[in-house]
Amino acid sequence: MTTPTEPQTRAAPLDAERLSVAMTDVLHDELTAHLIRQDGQEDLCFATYKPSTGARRWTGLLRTTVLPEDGEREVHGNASFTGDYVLRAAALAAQRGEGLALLHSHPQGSGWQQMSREDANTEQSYARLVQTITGLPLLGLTLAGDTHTWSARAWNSDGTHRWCESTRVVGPHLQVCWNDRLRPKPELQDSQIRTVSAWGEQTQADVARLRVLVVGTGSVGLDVAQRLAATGIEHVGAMDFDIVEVKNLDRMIGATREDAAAGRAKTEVALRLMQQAATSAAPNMTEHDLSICEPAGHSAALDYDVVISCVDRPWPRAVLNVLAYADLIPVVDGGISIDTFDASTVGGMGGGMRNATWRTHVLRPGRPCMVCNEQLEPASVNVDRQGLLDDPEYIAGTGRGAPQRQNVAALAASVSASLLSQFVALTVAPSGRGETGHVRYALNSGWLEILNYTSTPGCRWENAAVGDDRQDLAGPHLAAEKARSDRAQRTTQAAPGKVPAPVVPAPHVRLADRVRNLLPRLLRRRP
Amino acid sequence: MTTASTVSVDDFIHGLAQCGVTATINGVVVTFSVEACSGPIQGQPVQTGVGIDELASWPLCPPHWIHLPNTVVFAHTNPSADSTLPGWLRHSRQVERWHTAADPAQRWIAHVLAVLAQATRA
Repeated sequence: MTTPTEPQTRAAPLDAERLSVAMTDVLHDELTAHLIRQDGQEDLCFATYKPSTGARRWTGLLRTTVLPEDGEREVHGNASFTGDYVLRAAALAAQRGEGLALLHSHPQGSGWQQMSREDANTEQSYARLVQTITGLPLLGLTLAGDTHTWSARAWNSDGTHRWCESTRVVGPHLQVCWNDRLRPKPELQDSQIRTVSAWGEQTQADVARLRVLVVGTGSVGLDVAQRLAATGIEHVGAMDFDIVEVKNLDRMIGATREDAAAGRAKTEVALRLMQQAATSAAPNMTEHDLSICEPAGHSAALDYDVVISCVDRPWPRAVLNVLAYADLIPVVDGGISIDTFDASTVGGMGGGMRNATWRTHVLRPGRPCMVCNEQLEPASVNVDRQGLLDDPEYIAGTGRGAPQRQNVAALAASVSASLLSQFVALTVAPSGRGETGHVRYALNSGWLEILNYTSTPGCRWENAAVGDDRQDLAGPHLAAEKARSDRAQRTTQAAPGKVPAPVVPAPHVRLADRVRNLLPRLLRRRP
Repeated sequence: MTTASTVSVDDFIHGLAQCGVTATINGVVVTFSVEACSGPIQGQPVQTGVGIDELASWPLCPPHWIHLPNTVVFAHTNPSADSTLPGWLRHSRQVERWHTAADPAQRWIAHVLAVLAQATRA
């Protein structure tokens, strides 16, 4: 479990637990056009990159190609280049505050490529020079001509190198090339037969290795997290700082009265349910007792390949809106809006439902951000950040009353379904098509629409691949700190070994909850 | 509450300077002067400010509060005396469609002037 008490120090380049490289599909196409030649010979070029440093993963985000000029490289079956070309490219990278990557092709290659002795010698010989000029490690990338997939490594200035775990190309289809040695293909399970038959063994192997973070584990996030685990994804993270309360039980399917009575963390419940649902042979489900708005939560998110946003507050959504572009981590976002008639005209708790609308979309370079598609109002971010949305005095002063935040379990499932559909479209790309764009469904008319939003010219949010130079919207989160502190206090007050429950449910309720929890485990079959 | 990085604060002050407005840091507030261009106090210079804490997300997100001396009053407002200068109040005022602003500092000045159009002097 990740908590803010863990060391906050970010991993230094090459000291990180894992390394990776990422680029947009636009840059990938540009590089491929140069490196995959009609005459079948190898070619090479340089590109600049920015680092993106997570809690455990360091990623080089490729930004700009530096193509060879006349006389700077020769193609002769293999390819070679002059020292001047390296110096020019390194100086350009340094001028921009960026690192340098040397890229070359293996025209007949397929999948993750190893280095020939010649490849290794070439990259090694320039590693120190490049690091001296740019202050960042040299990256080496190889493009396999057959599958158009990338392999990558990072070089220390002492001439040693470390392989990356993966490379990802972010576009309508998120294409991740895995280093099978560092992240082996998961063994297929009998419990996954139907899933694998839907998209094949290779896709299952690719999707199952993705690290997917679910931010917000309420009605929608809890459902999404379980289904990702059931799909066979080995590493699903659940991030939330909140606890289960009685008012959540009409929507958090799988959470029990005992969870609410004990005031358990939503992530603890999510972890339990993900472990029960997991079909992988080696599930590695992780809970992050944090807000994505906290520096530790933000750092943890940078370790993932895809984020599914199941939060509705402006501040966390703003943080994710930056991360999707700056760090090339696609964010699948969505939500529901329930429109009611005025209660005062009818009486009682609500005036009746007028309509419900749910939307989902993928945030990534090439798609408009949440501000441009009108799902995030920047002016509300500072209101949320200061805790004003929960401040009774402030709310009274507005004269509008607190927002009602209606939700219904039966409809929350539709949001989950739409988010998961976007996730599958993004990662599996049926018929080669990727995610579909901004989807909206209106309940009272039954209309399902694809909305064609476009980016605002000069949008300051869609600043792609800037990594650690992103505008940092994370900061101390008073509500998250209070929630953890209150929970810790309750745990301390409770006798060891007993549930720290302020209210103990009736024995028959507890028995029913336990049976509900135990049944899936007893019925679960493993080979 | 987060304290804004000096980069964000400098960026805000620099942006105002580009618009011909000189801003300075006074404790927890960046203050500057504008001339009300409409309403009951039209033509009068008015000191105003922005909380440094709120500049943490500048220019992606605008500040929420407009800081003004308590001699500047409104018929309807949601004020707070927290995190501002002695003898000042901050007023809750939201800027809509912030992302369409080509120049954030210019847009902020326009927002302040629009708010001041409703102001009177105590």
